[in-house]
Amino acid sequence: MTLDYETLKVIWWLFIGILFIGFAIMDGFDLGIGTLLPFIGKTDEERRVLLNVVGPTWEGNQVWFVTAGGALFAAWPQVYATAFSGFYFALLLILFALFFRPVGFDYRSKLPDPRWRNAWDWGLFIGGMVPALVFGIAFGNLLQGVPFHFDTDLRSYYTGSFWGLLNPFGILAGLVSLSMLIMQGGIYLQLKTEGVIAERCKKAIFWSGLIFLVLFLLAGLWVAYGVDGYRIVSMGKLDAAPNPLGKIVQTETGAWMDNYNYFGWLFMVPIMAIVMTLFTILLSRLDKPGLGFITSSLTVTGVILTAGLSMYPFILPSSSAPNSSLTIWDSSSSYMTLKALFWSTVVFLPIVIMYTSWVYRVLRGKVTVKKIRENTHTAY
Amino acid sequence: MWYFTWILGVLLASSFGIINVLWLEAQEAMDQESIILDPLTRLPTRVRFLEKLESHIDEYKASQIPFSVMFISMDAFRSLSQQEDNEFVNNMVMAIAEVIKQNIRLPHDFIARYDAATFTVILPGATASIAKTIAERICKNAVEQTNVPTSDSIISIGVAEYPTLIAENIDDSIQEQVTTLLKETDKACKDAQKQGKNSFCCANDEVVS
Repeated sequence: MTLDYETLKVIWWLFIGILFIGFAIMDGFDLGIGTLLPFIGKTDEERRVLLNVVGPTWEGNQVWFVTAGGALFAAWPQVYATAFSGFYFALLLILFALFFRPVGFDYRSKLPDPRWRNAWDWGLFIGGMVPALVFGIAFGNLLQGVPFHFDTDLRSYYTGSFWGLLNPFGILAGLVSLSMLIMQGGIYLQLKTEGVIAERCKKAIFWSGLIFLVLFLLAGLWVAYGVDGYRIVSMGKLDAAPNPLGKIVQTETGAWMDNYNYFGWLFMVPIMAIVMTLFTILLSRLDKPGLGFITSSLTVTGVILTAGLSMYPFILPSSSAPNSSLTIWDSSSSYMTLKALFWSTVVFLPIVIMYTSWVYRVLRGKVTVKKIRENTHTAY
Repeated sequence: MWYFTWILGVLLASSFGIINVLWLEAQEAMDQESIILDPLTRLPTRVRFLEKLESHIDEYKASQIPFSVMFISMDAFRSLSQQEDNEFVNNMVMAIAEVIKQNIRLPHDFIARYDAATFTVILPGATASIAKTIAERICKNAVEQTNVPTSDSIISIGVAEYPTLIAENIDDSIQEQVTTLLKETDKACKDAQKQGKNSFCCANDEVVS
């Protein structure tokens, strides 16, 4: 395989996809646990168990998001510029919600006052629930297209508003994301805890898994029959310098199903997401949360891939000026940048995976109420 | 009381930020105001078109994004302006401008009234192939939508893609490149005029009608 420009553009679609999947799997479970915190933890000590399940690793998990943002900036600068100015208030909302997490984790157990602790528990709930919901809403809006265009000087202009993002399909996608990450958080929590907490997790996994399945199927039908998809009808050379206005795009209901209709085997991906959810529920019931975490992670992978494959090669479709839509062909960085990034990823990604695995190996084992009592001054 | 210093600092920084943004917005609005527009069609004129063209050629060095230029000659204006009254001619010019605006890729493309009988369009990012598709659409709709009472051609269009058209002169100065590009596009427009019947011609290839 030669690393020509065209191939690198596809490889970077895969890499950024892997980063977002990695983020959804790794940070997804701690966002899910944050959302479950006030409901699964009934007493202060139980809540501290939950906090200590993710306390040592949540910051590391969040780096997946930072890395994905950095990779977006380096590999798809046009997408970064358009999405970050367009989703400015949505991203600020995520950021402000995430502010609760470091402060909550570090200061929540410093004072014994139950009001103080309870307030921070709800802060951590917001820090888990809001990002999980807003990420899904953002994805839902990507599928519908975002109102932006390039002007006569090729500057991108976002013409929508924050409230425009909160449309019915966007909210549905947000709820798909939220229920999926609650399931992901629940199964990890079941893996890391025992007794009454693990039992409550089973219930949470069952209901979140079921709700996720219904909403995911509904979203799929909506995309197939109700959402205007995008289709490239004319395109310049794929290995040319990025030119966001060098193509003609048309919109049509059901066009997002083009890739699935053309390559029927791609239907295996959403089917995998559905089957793996059922397996996760089953494995949770059978007290096999280790395997359940793998199947739940495959669900997350399946869901992101389902949307990604449906949109390919689009990254950021424009609802107000479809020809301005950004695709992997016309929003990538230069050949040299993609090549340099590729080799640094090939070198550093295995190292990151190695030390991450080592951290989880060191932190293996269950977190129990007894351990919290024994380490009450050092635990979160 | 130390935190008052911080609050004051944050307030000052925010104020400077807001003032800066407002100042930039006011400046942009003033720049927009200062653009001279054609009094009839309210489109920018030749001077603004040439500035834009120069800026696109200059940008190409960094972005490598091609663009196309379109000369749209109002043949009907040339033939009917001596016979018909001013109001008729003005209405016809506005109708043709409207057809062009409806068929180019607004808000990406830049349209100007180059001279009394010519409109020009810059199509950022458009290859000759895209520009030809748009030219074909304008020619077709000019006949259907303008209701000009003439059996002769209403418009003729010349199209040229930068930089492929002037690949040999790419090292020339921006001014020289502008001159070459306009000359070639004008020539393509004249070739289309010779064809008659609302034709368009691309400087990069042969006459199409």
